[in-house]
Amino acid sequence: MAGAAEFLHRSERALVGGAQDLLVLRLLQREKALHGYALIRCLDDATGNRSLWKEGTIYPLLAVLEREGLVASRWGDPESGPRRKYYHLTPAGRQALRVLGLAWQDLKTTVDETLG
Amino acid sequence: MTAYVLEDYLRDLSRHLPELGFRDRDATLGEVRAHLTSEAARLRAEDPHLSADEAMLKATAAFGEPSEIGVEYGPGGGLVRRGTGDRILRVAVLTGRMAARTGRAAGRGARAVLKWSAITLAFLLVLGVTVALVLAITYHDTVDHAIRDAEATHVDYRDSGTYGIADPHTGSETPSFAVSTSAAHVDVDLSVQPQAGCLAIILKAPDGTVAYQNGSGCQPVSYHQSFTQAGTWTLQLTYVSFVGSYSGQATEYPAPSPA
Repeated sequence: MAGAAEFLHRSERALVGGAQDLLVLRLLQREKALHGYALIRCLDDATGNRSLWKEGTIYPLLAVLEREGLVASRWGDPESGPRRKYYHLTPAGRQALRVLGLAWQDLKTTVDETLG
Repeated sequence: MTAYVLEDYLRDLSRHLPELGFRDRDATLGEVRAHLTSEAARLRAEDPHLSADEAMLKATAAFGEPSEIGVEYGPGGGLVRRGTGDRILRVAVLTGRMAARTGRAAGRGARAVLKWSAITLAFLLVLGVTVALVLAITYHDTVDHAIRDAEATHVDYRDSGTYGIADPHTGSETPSFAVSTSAAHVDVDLSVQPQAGCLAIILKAPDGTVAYQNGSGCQPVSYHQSFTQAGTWTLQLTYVSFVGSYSGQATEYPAPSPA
């Protein structure tokens, strides 16, 4: 039973993780530039505060996207409070969003049809 | 959920980021600090009854356990190192669809190019064959006569030689060649290019008369003459310490065939 629970946890984590990539790219495209905290708030608004993932997971995801060249970042000037890192999509990121969006549509259609 | 205030949380999170470099770790902790500070402020704005610590505890709970977040920065999360299969899958998801679409488009384009190239080549081939046939029919007789004439040309004599300064040649040779009675004429070409020494040449006709001689043969000479006598012609070549080159050829031409 514990093994099944672990399996379900991993599966759900994989599903949510894949969707998070797509949502983050889409929000950055829509909002042009966001820091991590603002991105989390936008995700909450977009998902109806469903809290599909821990807020802290956004930062390692953004770091991976930046390393892969899909987003770029710059530190903002602190008007008040701590400095924030702002992220925006690169041309490669826009391309990846198009590809991932199409892949998602295909996957969604296939899964919906299979699950009936 | 373990109770943390901001600094305790950041200290614990830092312990779970062993693979990150110093600068990356500093930047990460700076982002997390800004996040938690903003979130705690938002929560207190929503509920003014929350204390600063209570708001921060709620913020860190929503952020995630340091151990869980730290994993996302490690090999399992993909930031530090990805497994090969994971990377391939990720790249495939991101690019596969576009590559497939591009490939299909490229395939369609390539097939169109090949199709039209084949059509163009076929057209040029047919055109070329047609032109060749027209020319062949128009100039058949002329071509036919030229071929017959070319086949009838005969080289009766051909010789050449080069002698280097390290090996000057001394001696004599008496080659001969026969010109048939059906020949219209025979063209004789002789060339002597001495660098040192001499090569004297005497050309005798079938009737024994001297048709050509170059004297001592110590000067360069290029000779061409047509003759009509049939029979055996002779050459007398006398080399004296000759350094240079010699060439000679006699070609008979048949009488033109009737059109």
